[in-house]
Amino acid sequence: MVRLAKFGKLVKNEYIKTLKRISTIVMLIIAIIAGIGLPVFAKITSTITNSYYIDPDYMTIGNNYGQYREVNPESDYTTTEDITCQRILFALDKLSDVKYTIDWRCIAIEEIYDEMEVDLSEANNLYNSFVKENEGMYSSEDSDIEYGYLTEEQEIAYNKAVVAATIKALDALEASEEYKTMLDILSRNDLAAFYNVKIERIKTTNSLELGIQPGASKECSEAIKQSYIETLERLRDNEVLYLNGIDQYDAELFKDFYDPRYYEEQTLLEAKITKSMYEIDGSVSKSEYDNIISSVTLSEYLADNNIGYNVYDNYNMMPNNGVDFWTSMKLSKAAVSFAGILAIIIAALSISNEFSNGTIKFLLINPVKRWKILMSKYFTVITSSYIIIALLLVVSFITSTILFGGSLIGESAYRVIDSEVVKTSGVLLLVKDYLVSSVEVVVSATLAFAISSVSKSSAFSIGISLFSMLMGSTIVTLLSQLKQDWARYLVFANMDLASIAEGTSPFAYHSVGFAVGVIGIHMAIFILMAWDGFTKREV
Amino acid sequence: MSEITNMAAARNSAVSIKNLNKTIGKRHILHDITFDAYAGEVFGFLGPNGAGKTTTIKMIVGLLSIDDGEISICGKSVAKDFEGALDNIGGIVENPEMYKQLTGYQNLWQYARMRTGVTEQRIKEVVEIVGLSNRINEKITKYSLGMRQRLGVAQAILHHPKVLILDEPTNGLDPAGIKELRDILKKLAHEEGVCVIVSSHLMSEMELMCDRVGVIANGKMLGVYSIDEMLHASSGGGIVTFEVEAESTEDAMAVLSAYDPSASEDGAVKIKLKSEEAREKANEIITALVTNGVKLYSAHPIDDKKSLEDVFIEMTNQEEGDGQIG
Repeated sequence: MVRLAKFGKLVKNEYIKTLKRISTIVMLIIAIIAGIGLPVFAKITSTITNSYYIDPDYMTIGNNYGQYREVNPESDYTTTEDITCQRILFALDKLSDVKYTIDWRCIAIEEIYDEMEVDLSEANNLYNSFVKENEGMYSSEDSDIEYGYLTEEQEIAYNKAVVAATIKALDALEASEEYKTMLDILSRNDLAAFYNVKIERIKTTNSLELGIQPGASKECSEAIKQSYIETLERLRDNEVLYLNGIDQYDAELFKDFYDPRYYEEQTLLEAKITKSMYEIDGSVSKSEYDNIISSVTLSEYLADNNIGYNVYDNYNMMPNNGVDFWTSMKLSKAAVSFAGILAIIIAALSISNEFSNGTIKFLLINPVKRWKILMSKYFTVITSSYIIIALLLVVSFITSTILFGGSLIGESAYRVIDSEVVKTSGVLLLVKDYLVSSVEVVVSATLAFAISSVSKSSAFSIGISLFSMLMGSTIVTLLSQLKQDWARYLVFANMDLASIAEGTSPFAYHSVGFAVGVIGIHMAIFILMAWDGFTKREV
Repeated sequence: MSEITNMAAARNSAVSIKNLNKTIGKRHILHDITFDAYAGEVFGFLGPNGAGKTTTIKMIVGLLSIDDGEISICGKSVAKDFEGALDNIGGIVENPEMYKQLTGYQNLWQYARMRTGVTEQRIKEVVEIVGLSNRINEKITKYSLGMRQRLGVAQAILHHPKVLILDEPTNGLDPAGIKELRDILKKLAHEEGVCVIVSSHLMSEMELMCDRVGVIANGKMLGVYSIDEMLHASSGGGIVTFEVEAESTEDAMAVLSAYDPSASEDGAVKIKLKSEEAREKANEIITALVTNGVKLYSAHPIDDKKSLEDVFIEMTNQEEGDGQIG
């Protein structure tokens, strides 16, 4: 106990010296400003994006297509797109109750026109004849003029041919029985009938059109087709609006009629396709398959338990409900870098300042063994790093709560690990995440401490440690791209434990255990360096 | 030297150094340094620049490692029981550098926390002793060198050390400050029984302050002497200068030509006399002058005791020939 009390007094000394240094105070203020500023920044961006999304003008067909009403098909410069858009607009006009507001039928109609095939052979023939005509027209000095260059008249003629072909195709489409049936279904707003038509079409189309890989076996293609059909049937039976091409991230824009069930069915369908490909053909990797299965397990779990919010969704910077409390906290974690810089400065100055000020001679003539002084310094460096990180967490937490409200603080994070859904409270996730990023801070600070002990130079130790903290990962990534596999043994390659755990490390088979081992060895070397430099030095 | 060895046997030495050697790089800096310093005395450590004073002091306080030899403080070996030995030491090595970001008072607390038994009361007491009471709550950046030296002394005596080691303690102090420090150190040694070891280049200061001096040159200990011993040992029999002031210097010179007189610029006539026959000769001189009718203003011996400085330079030159400085 006496020894502990003595050590406590040494640590108290170090804390007083550290906290009274101008560099510490300035960096602490900067770090706290970052801790407060990042949530504020998140709030500002969220306001800007929200004002963009809720602008009603962007939600009307009128804005998207209204201008095409006046398009003249005879004009020299009319494009196929102009013409198609005009026809879509006219088709929408026929659905008397749809006027300039998006609903599922707009999507359906656009899709019909998108699938239309245009016979461009005549236009292409014309183009080729123009090119032939032009051969030899240009001297070699104009060699920069590419092959296939047309004169303005030829350009217009070609364009007109393309437009004419498109109009022909459009006329043919609109004259077809299929089109008339579809328009009839849409004008009656008959969702079930629409899905039935879709199902019939799936049965008759070939597998390539469904996006099935050319090399797929017949069995696999059939299984996939069957999945499509089942999905459409379920959508029909559950009266889910047809929202093809709209994903959950557009939810804000289409909030009047957005139905998450459609998105869930799409996820499920994707999972089934992957499953078929993995199980029947083996044309999908195991990890891709696992990912898909995990996401299905998760969505099913969330749906079954009636859970509407998953912290992970917004914490991983993919805000589907705009920027919220958790997005703000994720963003605020960037302030930990400032904690790193501060920790490096504290570590470097704690030894080198004693030498540069000459106070080392007064420090070491006390009845305290040198290693005890060194340990009190190191203890101070490490504990102060964690205090700063905790301080930043608290500051950002409070600021985010003030700016975004505290209603989401109690929410949990759900993710699938080994096909089991694991629930973690959001706050615990946050604390864990900050702890993981503290590894980098501690390693950099230890490096600074070691260099400072060996070299006595604050500039040198701050410089090297800052450089390795900020540039280390970039250099390691570069080395990995140059196929220098030994780089995985560098400490910088192992500091980002979060991405190593997620498997996004640039090195193959990079496990957390390996990373922790490499960090441990480096830390031991750094501490030995500091020890040797400090306890054996002649002052 | 025999007297000193006897003293060592008689009382326990506070600092005992035996056959101390130190090599830094290829330079052999200390050669078999041996001496003892006792409780209750002010021990002066003398030597020219580069003689090895600071190296020895740094080794005593553990700043430099000991290559060979033995240092013990109050019977505890610095090498083997660092904390036990250093418990008894207070000191200033080289310049009194303090933590600039802290106040004087906070600086003292830094040292108080590393030592046992220092109370707030004691800190106030020490501040009072060194005369910093009115400036103690100012930051070190506002301190003059003299004030930092005082603060250095304050931190050194904070824990009632049995041994006080001060490297150039009068550095930066004004004359009044030097006198104050001298009084403090003498009081500590003579009244409180502290062993005070002082090194200084101001050798006249040492003369006033120290009881004994150890002389070091080129890394070798030349000897340890009491102040009187040292003066006596170096004077070689002793010469007394007798000075005569007369109205006419020429007349006086003529009368005293038998005594090998020399005239100084201010007109005084100086005659060197052997100390054992000085009184006799003085009488002869005065009688001769008076009988020859020289108008005499004054006739008296000059206090020509050599300063420690002269003795020291003489000693180090004798021992080392062309004593190197470096």
